[in-house]
Parts: sequence; C-alpha cells; structure tokens
Amino acid sequence: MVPSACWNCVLRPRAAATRALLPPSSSAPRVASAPFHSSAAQYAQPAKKKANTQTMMKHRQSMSIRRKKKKPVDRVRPPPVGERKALKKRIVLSNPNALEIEGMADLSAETMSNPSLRGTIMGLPVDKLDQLRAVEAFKPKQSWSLFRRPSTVFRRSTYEMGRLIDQITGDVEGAQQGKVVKKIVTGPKGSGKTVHLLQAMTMAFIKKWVVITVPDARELVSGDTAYSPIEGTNPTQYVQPNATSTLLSRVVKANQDVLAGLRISQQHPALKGLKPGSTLADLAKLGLQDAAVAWPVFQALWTELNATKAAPGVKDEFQPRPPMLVTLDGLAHWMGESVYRAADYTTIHSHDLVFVNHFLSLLTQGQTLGNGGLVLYATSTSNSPSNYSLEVGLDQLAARQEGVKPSSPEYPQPESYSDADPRVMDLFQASMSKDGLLELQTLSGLTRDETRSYVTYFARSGLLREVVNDQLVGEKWSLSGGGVIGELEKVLRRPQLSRPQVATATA
Amino acid sequence: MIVRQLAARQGRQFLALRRTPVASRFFSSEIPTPPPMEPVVDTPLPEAEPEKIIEEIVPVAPAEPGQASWKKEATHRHRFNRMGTSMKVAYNPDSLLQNPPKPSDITLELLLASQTHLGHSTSRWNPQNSRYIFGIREGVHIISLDVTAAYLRRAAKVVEEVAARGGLILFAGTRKGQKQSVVRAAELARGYHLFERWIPGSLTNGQQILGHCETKVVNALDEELPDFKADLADRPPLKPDLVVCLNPLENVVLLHECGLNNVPTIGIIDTDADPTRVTYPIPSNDDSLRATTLIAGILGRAGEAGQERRMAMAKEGKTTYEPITAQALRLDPFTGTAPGSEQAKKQN
Amino acid sequence: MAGHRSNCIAQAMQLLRLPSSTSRVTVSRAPSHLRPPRTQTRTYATSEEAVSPAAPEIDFSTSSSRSPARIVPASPAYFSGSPRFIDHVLKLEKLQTKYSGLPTMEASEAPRMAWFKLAQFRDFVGEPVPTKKYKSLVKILQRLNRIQPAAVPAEVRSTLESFLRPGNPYAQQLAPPTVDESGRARGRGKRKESSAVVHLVEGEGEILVNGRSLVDVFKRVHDRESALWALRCTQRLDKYNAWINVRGGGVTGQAEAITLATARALLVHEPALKPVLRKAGVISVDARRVERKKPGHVKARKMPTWVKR
Repeated sequence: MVPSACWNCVLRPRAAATRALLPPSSSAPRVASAPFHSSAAQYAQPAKKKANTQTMMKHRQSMSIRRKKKKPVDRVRPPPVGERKALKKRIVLSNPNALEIEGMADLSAETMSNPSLRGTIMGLPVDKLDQLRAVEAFKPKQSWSLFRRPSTVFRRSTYEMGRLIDQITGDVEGAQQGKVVKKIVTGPKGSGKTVHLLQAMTMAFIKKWVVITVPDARELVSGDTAYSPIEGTNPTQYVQPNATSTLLSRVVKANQDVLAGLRISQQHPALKGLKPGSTLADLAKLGLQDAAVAWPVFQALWTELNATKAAPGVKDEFQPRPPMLVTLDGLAHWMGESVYRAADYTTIHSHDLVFVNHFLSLLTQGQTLGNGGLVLYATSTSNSPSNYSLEVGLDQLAARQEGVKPSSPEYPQPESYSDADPRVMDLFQASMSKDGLLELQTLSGLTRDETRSYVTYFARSGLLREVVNDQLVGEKWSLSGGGVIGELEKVLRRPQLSRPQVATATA
Repeated sequence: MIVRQLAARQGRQFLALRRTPVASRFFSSEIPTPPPMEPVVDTPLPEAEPEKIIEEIVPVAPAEPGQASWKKEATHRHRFNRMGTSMKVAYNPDSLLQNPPKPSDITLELLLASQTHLGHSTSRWNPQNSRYIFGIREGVHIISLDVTAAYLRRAAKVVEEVAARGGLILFAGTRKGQKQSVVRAAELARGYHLFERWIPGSLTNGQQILGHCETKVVNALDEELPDFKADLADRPPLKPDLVVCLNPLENVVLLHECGLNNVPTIGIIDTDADPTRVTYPIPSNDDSLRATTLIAGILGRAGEAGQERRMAMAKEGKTTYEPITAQALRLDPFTGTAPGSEQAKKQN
Repeated sequence: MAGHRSNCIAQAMQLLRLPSSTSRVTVSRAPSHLRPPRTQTRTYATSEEAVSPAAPEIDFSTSSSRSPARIVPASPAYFSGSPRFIDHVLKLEKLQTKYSGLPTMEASEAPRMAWFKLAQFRDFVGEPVPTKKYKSLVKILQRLNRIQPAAVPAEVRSTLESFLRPGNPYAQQLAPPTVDESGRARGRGKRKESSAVVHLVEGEGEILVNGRSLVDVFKRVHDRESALWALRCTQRLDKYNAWINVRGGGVTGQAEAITLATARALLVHEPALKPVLRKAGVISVDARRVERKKPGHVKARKMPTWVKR
C-alpha cells in the first residue's frame, strides 16, 4: 500500500537550505573549485586524520578489558544568545534551485482587483518584500523556501479583498470610500488565514495605506514583555512599553515613506521632545528611543493617523491621512486571562492591558478609523488556546450574519454553568450591536480550478514531476481534505508513487 | 588380473544366462523356487483402477466441458495403454505392499534385494547381536542373510500358528513411512495395527486407556453375535496374543509391557538393538522401509495362511482353541459369579 | 555362541514341526506347549478360563454359528487407543488414493462444506482427538471435496456427508449487496480495534469522516492516503463522495479500517474492479489483533529477565 517510510522527512529541503544560509566557516580554507561544480569545496568534510594507532585494533592482538578511558569530550560552546531563536525564526523567501516561472503576474494595483485573474498564482511585488518582512507578514513554516520567489494563490477571497481595498481607497466608484470594514478571519488549519492577512498587507502597501500589525497576539499576554500599571486607572490598566516600542518600530520601518510625508496636525502636550512641524515618522521614532514614552507616542500617532482635520492651534496645512490596515494574528490569545499578575497576585485579564484593549476596542461599534480602512483579525489554529467564549462569540457572529435575531431561540448562547468570560461576551455584544459592522469571514479549501493552478505551480517549479490532469488534481484535492491549501502543500511535497493503471476503466 | 576381471565380469553374465534349478538351489537356501524376481513380476497386479472408476461415475449433472475432456482423456488412456511396447520387467515400488511374498517365497536374493543385510556402523553395535552378524563392510555390519531367512521363517510360523489359534496379532510400526505396510499386514493377517505412538500403559493400565474402545463377540466363523453386546460392558480390555514390532528401538515401553503381561513379541533386530527385548527376533535392517515392508508383508501373509486354516476348520465345526462359552460371557467379569447369585447369597 | 545357536535352531525346528502335528490331530484345544500353565492368567486365545459354573449351562442352539467363540476388538485399530478416528482416517485415505485420478477444481471453486468443528467431531467419534490430527483429516476431506461435482462417486459423496455438521450454515446465500435507492453503497471494514462503515455515493470526491474533514481526523498524510487507497489506486477519487463513520482503535487502525470498508463499498458500485483492488491489497482482511498479555510474562511473550540467584 502506502510506503511506510516518511517521505516527508526525506524530501524536506531543510538541511540544504540551512547549510546554504550559513556563511562559510572561516577556518576551512577556501579552495577554488571548478566553476561547473554545484557544491563548493569549502563545504566538503575536512579530511579525516589517520586513526589513532593505540585505539585501532590490530589483527590477532589480544584485547584487554582494561582499556584506556576515553577522554572526556570537551563541550562545544553553546551558540550565542539569540542565535538559535533567530535560526528558528529565519524566513527564507527564495530557493535558487527552484525553476522560475515565466509569465507569472505580480500583485499590483491593476491586477489586485482583476476578476479574470482569479485562481491564478500571483507573485508578491519584489519592492514590497522588505516592508512585508518588517511587519512580520511571513511566518517561518509557510514553505516560502520551496519556490524561486514568494507568490500566493489569487483566490476568490483575495479578489474580493482587493476590490474592497480599491473601494475604500476611492479608486473605484462605490459607496465604500472612506468606510471602515472590520472582519474576523477564521477557518480550519492550513486554510490560509495568515496568508490572507499577508495579501491584505501587500495590497495595502501597494495602495500606500498605513499598515499596523500585531503578528503574534500571544507575545502580549504570555508574560514575555515588561508591564507596569497605569496609576489612577480603575480598574487598574497596564501598559507594555517594550511591546509598544516594537510595534512602533514595525510601523516606522514598514510605513517609512508614508509617515515621512505626513506632518503632525495636533497638539501633543505630553510629548516634550516633539518639535512642531515634524513628520509622523519623527513622532514615532520618539517612542523607539525611549520605551517609557512608547505608549503615549503610540497614542499620539494613532490620533494623528485618524485625524480628519487639523487641530485649531496648528498652522501647518492639513494633509489628508491615508486609510489604515490593522491586522492581528491569533485572536484567541486575547480572549481570556493573561499570565501577568497584579500586585495582589491575581491574574490580569488581557483586556486590562491597554495595548490589547486598544486593538480590541476597534472591533466595537464606537471606535472607528477616522480615514477609513480595514481591520482584519485572524484566529490561529497552529498555536491557540481553546477558548470557549471566543467560540460562542464567533458562533453568534455567524448566526447574526445568517440573519438569526438575537431574540430567537436558535441564536447561540453560552451554556448555562459554563465559564464563559463575561468580558469577552460583552465585547462581542458591543461589536454586534449594529448590523453589518463586524463580519466573520470563514476561509475554506481551494476550488478545483485554484487547486489546479496550485498544482501546476508546483509542477512548473520543478517540485512535482507528473502530468497535471483532472485525475491528479482531484486526487490531491480529496487528499487535502477538500483543497485546504496547507495540506495541499504537504501532499504535493511527497514524492509521487506510481499508480497502477486500471485496465478496465468501466464495468 | 585381466583374467580375474574377465571372470568377474563374464561370470556374472554367465550365471545369469544359465540359471538352472541346480544353480538356484545353490543361491537360495530353500526348496527350488523360480528366480527371485519372478513372483513379483509375474503376479497379476491388481486391476488398474481407472477402468472401474469410469463405470462407477454417476453423471449427476450435465457434464461440464472440463469434465467431458477428462472423460475423453481417460478413455483414450485406457484404450492406448495396452498398445505399443509392453514392459515385461518393470519395477513397481508398491508391489511389496500390494502383493507381499509368502513365507515360502523367502530367498536370500529377495532379502538381499530388500537391503535386510545392512546393519549399522560397527561402533554402534550391540555385542549380543554378534551371532547374526556376517561381517563388516565399509565400517558397516552386514547381517547374515541365512540367519535372517531362518529367523524370519520361524517368526512367520509363529504368526501363522497364533492366527490359526484365533490369537490377536498386533502389528506395530511407529516410524514414519511404516504406516502403509503395518496396515496392510494387519489387513492380511486380520490382525490389528498400530502406526502412531503406543500409549504407555495400554496393557498395564488398559482399563483407563482402552476401556472405551469397542469389542464384539464373534462365533468361530468370525461373524459378530450382537446378542451378547450387553455382556461386554465392564469387561477388562483385550490384550494382544502376539505383537510384531517393526522398530523395537522406539517401542521399548510396548515391549516391556508385553513382557510384563506374558505377551510374546516378534521384533526386527538391527545390529544396534537389544535382541533380548523380544521373544522372537528377526535380525534385519530396520531402517530401510523396503526391508520392513518386506518383513511385515511376509508376516502378514503368514497370518493370512493361519486365518484361512482356522476358517477352514471352523467350517467343519472344529476349533484349535477353547471357545468362550455363553455361560462364561454371562458371568460377572469381576466376581466370576452369575449375575443373580450374589443377591441370592445375601438373602440366604 | 555356537551352543546358543544350536539351541536356537533346535527351537526353530521344533516350531517347524508344529503344523504337521496340529493338522493331523483334530483336537479342539490348543496344543499343550502353546497353552500356558494354569497359574498364568493369560491364555493365547482371549477366551477366559471358565470358573466353576454357578448354574447349569444354558442350552443355546447347537449350531456353532450362534455359539460365541471369542471376544475380539471391533476395529483393527483397537490398540491405538482411538480406533474410530483411525478407522475414519484410513477410510478417507483409501478413498483419496482410489480416486486420485479424478478431475479436480480449484479450492476456491469447490462447494463450501461445513465440516464438523473439533468439539463436534470429538462427540461424533467419542474419542479425544487432538487438533492437529483432526486438521489432517479435514485436509483429506477438502481434497476429496475438490473433485469436480459431475465426477464425484456416490461413495465419496456419502462419506463426505457423514462429516458435515448438522444444519448447513452455508446453505442460505447472503444477498449480494446492492446500491440503495439513493445511490449509496455501504461497506464495512475492520482493522486492529477499529471498525469503519463507509457510505459511497457518486460525487466529486468530498470525504467526511465522523462528520469532520479528512484532514482533521488524520493529521498524517500517510494515513489519509491509506484511508483512500482503494479509491486512489483505481483512480476513482474524484468520482465518489464518501460518508464515513469510524470508531475504536487508533489512527492507523481507523485509516486502514476505512480502506477495507471503502474497497468493499466500491465493489458494490463496480464489481469489475475486484482484480485491481485485490492486487492493491485493499480487500484482504487483516485479521491480526493484539495478542493478550499472559501471567508470568512481561508482555504477551516476553519473559522477565532471568537472574542467576
């Protein structure tokens, strides 16, 4: 039947990739190799020393039990701090061994809302890759390293999002201009939620939006960063200066061009170092230099970005702010108690962290983005705590979207005596108080056409050596649980087994 | 030297050509008999089966194509079998089983051809057998064939006489491959066979081991008398009156039990066996299936002769043994009294 | 030695002289030298020595054919301890050699016969027959059963019938499974501790396991592939939808139970695929189960480490 060995392990180009990434060690002498050699000589194993004559057994020599003790192996120095984490988080976006695909379209202002391109593979624009890296849009295990250059499937959901972004920007006529659209993206494991966010970010960069992302929600509630209470708040709120500083650095790096072109339009008495007439980039950099003021800086930046007109005292001409894209990955982490402790050693609810609270409040009805934009919060399935309240909330959201009234008995309610988090329930209640505000977007598998183009992409990259026909596509589609793209990639990476030809096609 | 070779080569042929009764007398130690192989060759083999089968077949269903072709083939075979070359002298490996020689057919040539003379390696010998041993050849003891013939004839006589007196003869051969010959011999001698393991205690503890095995009461003509069936209950199990053992080496227990129960035994004694274990030894090779088959067959034939004699006498109303009386059958097997007598005693 | 030999010969001569003496004398008793002395309990003939009669002899009819002469065993295999079983074996072997020339058919085509089970056979013969010996007997029965039906002799047929257990369990043929009115074919399969039921309809390759997606249930691609191997090796993956219920056991067992069940359901739709599926090994039942742990063992067979003292 199926080969018992795990081909996946054999095939994974992990080893080759990591070796190629490491700089050639300085100790190995660099030897000029023939230009046609595919492997450089410096990677070769060093020549073996002659085996020690003492340890080597000679023919017909008696072996005594009292052998020389082995010298204790001196420990190799552990890798420097942070190196292993860096290795773990390294993202390789290109594989020079993969074939280049000619005629592949790039995601651009023209193509992102072109319905005729639906179901094709589209490359990410090369000039936006640095920005995408800056906002941590790529995740380590997404197999970008398989292909020549990063590219994504232009799915139906992608196309719809492209149109939406077009509309909000105002490039296309529609009632959506300047509107705020809030979505929670869910779906089974491997269905492409994170890549969906990535596509949104790419499009936002193309449209010169301001992109603010939280790539991993877990980091803010898992006790990894410093926190301190804000005095005078009741209930006590907590600020996370370092995390805010990191967020600001992401914003500055990714949106350098946009922010550098905008000048401050409001009064910021709290920020002493801010000169009048400086750009928003300068404002954000204040927070980078001093983590203690990171949170006020972020608040100032936020008000600046959402401003629709200049404050009375500012004499600079107001420049219209671009729309904003706010994304979050791993929503479930923010729907319960954090691991932080208050002074009385009670756990702090994650909604009491101002950082978290700020982004979650965007979901509710009252908070909006002043210049329009898109709020995309995705759930994660690879690293997510099971969260009953969130499940109920998403169910309620789905029910509302299907037109079920909250008063009807079919409307999902948390079970009695279940420990549903009241604050989470309140959050969902608040976000749904008006129809059509918060949407639930469920991603599922690819369609067959999309699957076919994805399989073809593998074949053209040289990863799949088989004729791509309906048979193969249908088979892969079924094996991947109905075109779930992450699973599809796993299935396609396996070497293909020769299939028996059916002699009698029909009975 | 050349002369000697010539004599060796031609002499054999010469002897083969001129086989007069005198010469055969010289070869065999028995009354003049036809050349040794002849009885085997000339005796009409039992009728080939296929012929009969064809007649027996009852066509149940309309013959299938395969069936029809097979039938055709069988008919062909039957028709053409007799045509062409007729093989006068052909070795039939089953002839010893199907048509075993009689005791009167024993010749030294037959014994030699059946490998009865081959003993064991000299190192394994039992010195008690020295009187049967002719010599040593290539480190192997050669059993004296004339002794074998004499002892075999004696054993055959014993078997015949026991059979003639209505004794129960048990043929035991528990080695692999001896099954057929044992069953055949028992069939000829109307005796009993044992080709699997002898259950120890079958004689000494017979009630436990053979108690459930059925017996029957027969008259002098060996016809079953069902009237006495009820009297057979609670009777001690039967014991053989003579045991013929083809491999005494493996059946020490059997022979020991026979000794304990005064049952005479006949055994094939190879050069490594203990001849004192059996009553009537037959010095011979017991590792050759051909030899054991021959000996079993001869003894079976002897038993057959004895049974025929007994039946002939029975027809005349005579028996060579003391028949059990109906009255004795009715007696209680344990107390030896009549069924009702004990109660009568108690009442008295 | 010489002396002994002469003695031996003398004995032989004595024996040889016997027949002549007995044939002439018409005494109805055994000759004196063959008859053991009174003290011995055994005689040559099985007849018992009559003890002093308690009652006057009953006068049976004088004809010798009705008077008993001997008590003999009913079967020639009396001394083997299991005479009836051995009689059966010999009878069957005789039949086998007699009819070895008859045309036979494949074992798979031979009519299915319900032979006695071991316990039933023991009751039938009334002897404690070991399993191994009964198996060898059944082997002969199977060989005789392979004779083509048209050529079976009546003798063989009647003999074989005597070994059948009462009530033929194979008499009623199960109705071949069919596709039901809504186009579903049902198949069941088992492997290890798992059992699966598959409903197969024509469709586009949608598969649900216990109401969940295949990916959710089987994380390993290997398991997914083996679950759908029946459809895959016949290139039917995109032609059927499957609704699967599977319970019990672990992941591998469940996946392979689904394989078997799917293959059986597929056979209902397309019986012509049988050779392909057989070759792919998906309709062979794997009846292996976990061997139980035994007392005194660490696992099913592993023994505790042997320690000297």
